[in-house]
Amino acid sequence: MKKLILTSVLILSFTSQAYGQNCGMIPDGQVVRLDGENGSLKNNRVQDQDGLGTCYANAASVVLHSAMPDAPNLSYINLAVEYAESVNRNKSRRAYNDKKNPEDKKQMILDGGHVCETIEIAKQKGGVCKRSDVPLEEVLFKNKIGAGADPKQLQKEIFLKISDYYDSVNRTFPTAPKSTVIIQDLVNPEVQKKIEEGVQVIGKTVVEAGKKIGGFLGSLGSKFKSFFDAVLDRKREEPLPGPVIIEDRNEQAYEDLIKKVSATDEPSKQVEQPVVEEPQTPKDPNLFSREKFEALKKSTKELSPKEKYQLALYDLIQKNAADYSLKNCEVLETKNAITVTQDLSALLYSLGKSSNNRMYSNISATLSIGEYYYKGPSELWVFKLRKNFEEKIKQIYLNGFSRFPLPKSGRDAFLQALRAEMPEITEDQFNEVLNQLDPEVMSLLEDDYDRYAKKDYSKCSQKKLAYLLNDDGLKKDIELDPCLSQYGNQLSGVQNLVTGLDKTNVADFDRIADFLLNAPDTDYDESIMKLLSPTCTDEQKIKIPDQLTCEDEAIYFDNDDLRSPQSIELKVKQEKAKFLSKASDSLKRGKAVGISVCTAFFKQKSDYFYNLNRDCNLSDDTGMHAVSVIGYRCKAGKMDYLIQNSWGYWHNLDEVKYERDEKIGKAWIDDDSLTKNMGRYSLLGK
Amino acid sequence: MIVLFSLKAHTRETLWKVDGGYVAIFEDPKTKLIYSASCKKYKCKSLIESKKVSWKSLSEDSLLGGKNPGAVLCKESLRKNIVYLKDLQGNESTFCHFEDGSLISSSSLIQIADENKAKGKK
Repeated sequence: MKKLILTSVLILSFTSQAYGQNCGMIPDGQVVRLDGENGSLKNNRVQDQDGLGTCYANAASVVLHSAMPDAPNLSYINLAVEYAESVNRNKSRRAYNDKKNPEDKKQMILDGGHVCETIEIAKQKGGVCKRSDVPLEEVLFKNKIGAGADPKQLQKEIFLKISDYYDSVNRTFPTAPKSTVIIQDLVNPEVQKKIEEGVQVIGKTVVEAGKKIGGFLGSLGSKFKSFFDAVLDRKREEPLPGPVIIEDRNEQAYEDLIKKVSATDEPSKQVEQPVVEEPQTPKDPNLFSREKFEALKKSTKELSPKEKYQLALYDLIQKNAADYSLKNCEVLETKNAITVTQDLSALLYSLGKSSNNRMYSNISATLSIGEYYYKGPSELWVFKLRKNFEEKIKQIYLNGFSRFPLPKSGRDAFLQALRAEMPEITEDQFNEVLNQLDPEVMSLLEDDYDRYAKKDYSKCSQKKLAYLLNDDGLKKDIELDPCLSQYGNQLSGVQNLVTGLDKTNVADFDRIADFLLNAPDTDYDESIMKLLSPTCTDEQKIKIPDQLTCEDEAIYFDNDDLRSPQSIELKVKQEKAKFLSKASDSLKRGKAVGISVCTAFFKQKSDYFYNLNRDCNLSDDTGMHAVSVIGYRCKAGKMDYLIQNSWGYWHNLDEVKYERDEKIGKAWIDDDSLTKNMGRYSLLGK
Repeated sequence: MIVLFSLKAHTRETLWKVDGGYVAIFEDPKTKLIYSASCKKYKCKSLIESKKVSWKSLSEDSLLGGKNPGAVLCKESLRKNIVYLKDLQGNESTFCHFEDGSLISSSSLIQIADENKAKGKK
């Protein structure tokens, strides 16, 4: 095979004398560029992916633009979230895939991918929205520049907020159909089996219940009524004890709120409103919530935990909604929004200090429990325990409760684990200390064990639901019970989305509320696109033709290729010839080529040769990066390719080696450099 | 002669759209940096503060997925905000925004960070 390729190279080399020394069959002086006047990319513009790791999707959108009928400008965000859900989410269940970095450096499942896979997934998913249907890809350019008016919500930050919330809900309610993954690491197969069965049953129940009650939230106004109807219908089906007037008051509260809001929006019409005599329009803005709470509390018995959560969250959002302009669906002022949510934010500020890493929270809680030990009997062994306790417990948690059979209780597990480390401790001594603990704390220890070792979150979910309805005592409880720290993050996510995302104008309040309530039941890509692109329905998505196939070609220098300078040179020649043949063929047909390169060579002054050792550091050399080849030329016998990047104004090339194109964001790069630094290229079929 | 000089100077300036208006961006032929044209008239923060931009402040996988390194440097190394501009053809580009309103292109930050890195090695 290699001989055949070598022969081909030699033939090409010989033939190229008549054309260009390194240009194969391409005549010297020929220039092909797809962004020219008649090119397939004449209307394509350079993108800037900013802080999102979506290069593969940016490149895919360029490639698809060049090859699809009517040359559509496809949303790279849509392409990326579809890829993230289908590929990266299988590797990391969380929308964040990074636990070690601080808040502003977190990574997401959105970061990193491949061009061909992205295109294939988009095909399977039924298409992609146009860029013009994704406001986020437009609205960022409409922000004012000036003090106090900066667009603080960058693309990345918006996605972090969305992803954080998405994760938090799925963590809190692992009974959602998607959450079956979480039980994969259960140590006890019997328990695992039972939970799996349980999850299936609960999952079906949640879905069924969701169908019944779904859709109660939509446009603020009409759907208030739908919501009340849903609650009231439920009451009608199964009459609840209590005076009938509660129903009437609920109806009235709804009517009153609508009037109140209408009056706020259109003051001139206030006079024309019919006078409502009984009951009076509530002066207390919380009255509406209280009324609904009453109805909720009486009807929650037959709701699933998730429904209860949704209803309670609905109320939370509703409470905030009073200060939003219904007419424009925009938050009035940040200050107002903060005031509205100050009851949350004060709490959340303190909760925010809690780590969102459950294991860490567990350790913290255990250490808190350890404080009780410090106050216990003063025998020598207690001091020894005190000295070693933190580290041992940390190890136990970090290593997991992996002993078989799974201890029945937290007490047994701790004793077992501690005795493995400190055999001199007797059961009596251990019990003596434990017996001094507050029974409530002991109960928390057991709950924590159930959650961590048995993956039983039911008690935690119940607690959270209870606190959603009434948060008295939450702040104190959260210090004792680590499971509630996630709850804090979740509410923090709600606050972030409601007060932050809305202000960016990428989504209105309705859609944010809808996302808050329904995101956990849908895939990552579906929920995000529904939030960010309400106008792009399945019917409006641009379908990718089945016959438009995409194939990857890898460039790999094996040990044989690397055995000598001559073999390396030969390999480079072979790969150059192969790429020339395939890429030029594709470009002549108007189709751009996606490539994955080690971007270090973009800015290295010396010759960079990634394929020599396949070492492409992420730290300061940007790692592998997908870009598009949108043209070629044979100039003075040398082959160059026109690269379109997705970094906006892209100029920091070593201009001795690479030539900046006259158009921004593009550069001519010689075939030698490209081949040496390319990991793979993606070609669309004929 | 003056007219020619003036024309030549103007070719280094391009207009970029923002919120219904335009900002003039200057491409410095000497330093190759791209920044607010107003910085030619006064010592703007974008030129002063960007001198300290460094790759060191980025975490190991800050650039995963081919993120625009300049945008990441703006946010993580300089702790500034990004603004999104379009040129008259509709090409998109991010710029780093400083308190005095001045801008510097994300790509210029890559250049400065590389230069700082090179200086550090010496």
